Formats: sequence, C-alpha cells, structure tokens
Amino acid sequence: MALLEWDRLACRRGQRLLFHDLSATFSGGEIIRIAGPNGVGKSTLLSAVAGLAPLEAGTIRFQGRAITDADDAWRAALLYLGHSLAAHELLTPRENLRFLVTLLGQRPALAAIDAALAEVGLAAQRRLPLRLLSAGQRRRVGLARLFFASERPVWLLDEPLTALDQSFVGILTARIEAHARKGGVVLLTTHQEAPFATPPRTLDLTLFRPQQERAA
Amino acid sequence: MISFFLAVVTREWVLAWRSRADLMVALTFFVLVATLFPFGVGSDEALLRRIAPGILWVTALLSVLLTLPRLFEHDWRDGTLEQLLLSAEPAPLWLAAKLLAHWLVSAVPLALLAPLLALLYDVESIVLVMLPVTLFLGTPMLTLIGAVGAALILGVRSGAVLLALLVLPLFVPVLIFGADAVDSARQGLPVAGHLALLAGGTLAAAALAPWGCLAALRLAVES
Repeated sequence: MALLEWDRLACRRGQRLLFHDLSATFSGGEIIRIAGPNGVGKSTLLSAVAGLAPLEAGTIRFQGRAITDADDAWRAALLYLGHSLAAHELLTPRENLRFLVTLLGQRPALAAIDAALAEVGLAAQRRLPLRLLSAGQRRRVGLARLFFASERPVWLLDEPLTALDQSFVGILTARIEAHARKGGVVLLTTHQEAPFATPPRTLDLTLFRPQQERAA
Repeated sequence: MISFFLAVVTREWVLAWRSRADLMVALTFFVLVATLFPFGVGSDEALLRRIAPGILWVTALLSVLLTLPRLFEHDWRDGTLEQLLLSAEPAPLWLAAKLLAHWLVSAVPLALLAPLLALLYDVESIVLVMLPVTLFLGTPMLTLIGAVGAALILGVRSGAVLLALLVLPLFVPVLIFGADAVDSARQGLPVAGHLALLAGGTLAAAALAPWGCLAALRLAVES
C-alpha cells in the first residue's frame, strides 16, 4: 500500500493558481525531488502538505486515510523543515537543538544532543550563540533535528542543501538515504545536484501549472 | 506535557535575559514618564495625589504596549512558529507558556516598581498597596489582548503603530477599572467590586484571547 497519496492537489498563492490536478503516490523507501523553477510553488506545496497552508483542492491520504485539518496523527508522522530552520540566533546550538527535539515530542539527554551536534560538525561550537556562527553552520543546527526524526516516516525538506559545503551535503544525503532505506518517504526541493547513490524520483511541478501559464 | 510547558517558558526566559536591553527600554520608559509628570504638574500635592492612579496606570499600560510587537515577531520570521504549530502538543499549551513567560518579564516588574514611583506623588499608603494589586490583576488582560494584536500584525509594515491602534481601545476597560480601583481605595470606598471585575476580565481574556491569537498565528504562517 502506498504510504502517501496525493489526489488532485491544487494550491493558490494570493490570486494566482500555482498548480492543479497534482496526483501522485509515494511508497516507503522513496526519495522524491520536487523540481521546477523559482515561484512554481515548491515551498507552498510542502507547507500545504504539512498542513500549514490551505489546499485549494484535493485530498492527501496517509496510510490510506485522508488527513484532516489539525490532524494529530499526521503531525506526529511528519517532519517538516521549512526554508527557515527555526534556530534562534541568541541561543547556542545545544539550546536550539534541545528545544527543537522537545517539539518533536522527545526528551533526549544532553549527551544525545551533543552527539548529534558532533555528527553535524558543531562539537566545538555547541556553546556559542548562533549569531557568531556562519550561515551554513546555523543551517546545520536546524538540520541536526533529522538525527532525532527516524521514527517519523514522512520527511518534507524545503531546500535542505542550501548554504552547505560539499562534505556536509554528503553527510546529509547519507542521512536521507538511510531514512528511506528504513521505509520512510523523503520529499525535498533543491536547486543543486545532490549526490544520492541512485538519482531520486523527480516530480516536475511545471507539468501541473495552469494551462495559460504553461504556454508562456 | 509539563516538561514541554517548562521548556517553552525556559526558552522565553533565556531569550528575554539575552535581549534584556529590549525589556529595559520599556521599563525605563515607565520610570521616566511617571517621573516627568510631577515635574510638569508642579507641587500641588492634592492634585498629584488625585492623578497618581491614572497616570501610573496609563504609563504601565503604554510600557506593556511597547513590549508587544516583539512577542511573536522573531518566532514567525525564523520558522519557530511553524514548528510550534506542527508539534504534537496542544497549541494553547505553548501559547500559554509564551504569554506567561512574557507577562512575568514585562508586566510584573512594572507592578513591583509602581509603588516606588507612586512615592513621587505623595500618595496615601493604601495606594502603595492597591497599585501593585490592581496591576497584578489587570496586566494579564493587557498581555492577552495584546497577544491577539501582536499575532495580527505579523508581516505588516509599521506593524507597531497598527498594533497600538488595534489594542489601545481594547485596553480602555482595563484602565478604567484598574485606575478607579486605586482611586476608590484612596477615598476609602469599597474596592472588592473593582477587583472582582479586573480578575473576571482577566479570566475571560484568558479563555477567549488564545483562540483569536492562534487563528491569527495560523494565518501569519500560511502566507
């Protein structure tokens, strides 16, 4: 059975219909790259799937069950990483990550937090406020959350590879592949080539644009 | 659930401490403005005594207003609000934690400072007691109503001005009952009714404001 099904989704931003009749099914183990130029609606799609923005039309089914507004089971099955990674510049990586993991409903020991920070290469910076770190290092703090989300089958990652150096892109793609191998579904958007072992399935949003815009 | 609540409160406090200059501005505003009035009005002691409750209440209210625009601003911009809305915990829980933490650092210092400033107005000793009592009872209502406004202005340019226009009219009843309670006590009149109204208003705001606030926050995240 498909883990996640989209049935004729449509999203609107302001007056403009971004895409419509978007249907797809995803089964466990898949990595899906949502492709398309800027403004095509990739981020809007991900936040709508997460339940943060309204869908203009369509149904999302998770494990065969249509999700509703304020769906607790769906929220508990989901990890959403928006374009902003929810890390505060006045808090240290340790404080940030600890809070973010609390929001996932876990209460990890400090050692587990530090281990995850070491994993993303921030062992030495774990006590520095984020404002002293570089843009890439700040993003690593938010991405360290992935190490606590293996129980959540559906990952929605909006531009996870932005501002990261090559070696960390490698670490991150390995983490994503490991999650897929364990039966999870990972939907991500990216403009750069990600070094996945097997190229991810691509979902081109331009194919679902309204007719008049496709011609333009 | 309790540990989640405490985690949110702790985070807010750590952030408040690390950006304490922001809170100090509001507190300094309160002290300075309340100090200016006796200079402006002159040394008519009877007049000063009469206007003290109203002036201290108005300045406290404006000081609370100063701290409101930042209540959700940062969380909204850096994506924390999205993660809070997606968390498995009930939304009123983290909202209550945020508002409680904010009230404790923004309004409670005002209630504690108010009696000291009241000394400048040569007030009766009952006023020194009633000012903090009414501020304790009334300022939660200001924070709660203000939170709805603070959520509504997210993403709006010159939002702070709009926030003042939105919430100041709603602050009027709080001001009337708060200042009048102190004034009645000064004249030796019974104040139980005033205090009950303030407490009742705060309870009603605690029951209603979070829903409006959450609806506005969800709207802010959508766009």
